[in-house]
Amino acid sequence: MKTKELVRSMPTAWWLHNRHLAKFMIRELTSFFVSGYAIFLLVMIYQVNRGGEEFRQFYFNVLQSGWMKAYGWISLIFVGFHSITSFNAAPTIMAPRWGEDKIDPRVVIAANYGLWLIISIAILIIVL
Amino acid sequence: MARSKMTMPTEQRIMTLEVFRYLPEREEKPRFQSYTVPYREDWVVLDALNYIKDQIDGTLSYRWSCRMGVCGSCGMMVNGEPKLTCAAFLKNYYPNPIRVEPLTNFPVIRDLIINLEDFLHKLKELKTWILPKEQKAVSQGEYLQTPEQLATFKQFSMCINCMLCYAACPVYGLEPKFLGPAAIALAQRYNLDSRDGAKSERAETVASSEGIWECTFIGECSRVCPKHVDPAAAIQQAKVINTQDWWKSVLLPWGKKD
Amino acid sequence: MAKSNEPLVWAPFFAGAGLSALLMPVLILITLLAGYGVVPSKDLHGLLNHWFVRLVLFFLISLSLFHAVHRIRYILVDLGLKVARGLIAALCYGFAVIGTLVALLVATGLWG
Repeated sequence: MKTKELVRSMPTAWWLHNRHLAKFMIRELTSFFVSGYAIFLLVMIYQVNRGGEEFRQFYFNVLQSGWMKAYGWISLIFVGFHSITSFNAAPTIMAPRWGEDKIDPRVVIAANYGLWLIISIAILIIVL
Repeated sequence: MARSKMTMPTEQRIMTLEVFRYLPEREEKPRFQSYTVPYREDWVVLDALNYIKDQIDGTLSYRWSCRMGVCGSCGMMVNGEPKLTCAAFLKNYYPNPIRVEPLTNFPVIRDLIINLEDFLHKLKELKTWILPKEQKAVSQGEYLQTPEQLATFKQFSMCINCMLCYAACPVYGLEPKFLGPAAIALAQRYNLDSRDGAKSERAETVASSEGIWECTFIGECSRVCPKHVDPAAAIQQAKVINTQDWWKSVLLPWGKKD
Repeated sequence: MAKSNEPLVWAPFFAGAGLSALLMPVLILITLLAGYGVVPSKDLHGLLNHWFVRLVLFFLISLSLFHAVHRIRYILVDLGLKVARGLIAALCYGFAVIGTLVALLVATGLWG
């Protein structure tokens, strides 16, 4: 006699079930801040195109406003988290090997962070 | 004279298991049943279940076999986490009660027994066996493989088909058509094997929207895998390879198809 | 089950992940420094007018948008979206395409 199988439904807030899933959702939500800054860059270059005076207006009224600075700090945290999770995932996606042996994932991650640091410092030196 | 837990003889310590029961021939709805088992430091949840079946309630049904983490039969949810019950030690939960349920995302046949037909069907669909690049007669000798060639796929061959990864995967929970971590990892195991030549045959299934592309790299599969197969790695690597192949076929359509 | 064409959008997604991970944090920091006056308006204006900066920023903007919309599309899927998935995908990548076109216009100075 074949009996009825029980099908259990998935809770809508499945991503709150444990801290790994919550971290996953936050990681995905960082994409809003990535696109946000991309759009901001677009606006900034547009303002440059509009000329010196227009850009100065943008600089003093928008860039230096309290809202923009607050949003900037929040963006920095989320985009920073995006960077960290991306670098930590690098060895999983690339799986580099040296002959027979698997290259230690920590080395791959360190190389990523190293590259990030070098590029960031280089850009800062150029700008400042 | 008061006795602390530390001085109480081991034989007197107990643990409570709250076990999921589903008896469709008698009751329409599932329920939990509480059992009290002796606490032994070297016991695993499977030992507790065997004690229940032997000494308390013979109607409890569940799967198990090797009791040493190589057969993949005893996977269940222990306090909401997919685990091999032969590898979940009571001492890690003592003195709190342990909740035992059938693996999530699978239909339940009875008690802790799930229907795993879907997974077996997917394994067949993905042709998870060697389809040799070149057919060799036995007299021609073995297919040779260097340690380096073995290293490319060895990790993915460690899968014991325990399906903890399917229980952990929210994407599989949301979309039962998703091929899932173990099946894709096993497909990769054969795709990467130097003796195999069926990569493009498998690609129809692996590289479909129900294959690797449904995965959103949540990573729970690799976290719960008891054999460290890292199916998430297999899937992401397959995405990179498939992307390269796709763009090559688009930009260089005259190229060699492999 | 036929082979998916997902690699079309996965390539820019993956490139965008790497580029935004490496470049965005320091750029946001510079933007904040400008907000506090450490980087004066004149300097920022000059930097953003340089052809190489614009070239890099064009790719950063475009690929970051493709990266973000791909993720947003899958957030919706992971939250249970089953209907109109084709439409959602079209809207998401369409947004990235439009953003890329705008970035091209703005970076080349044709707009603004």
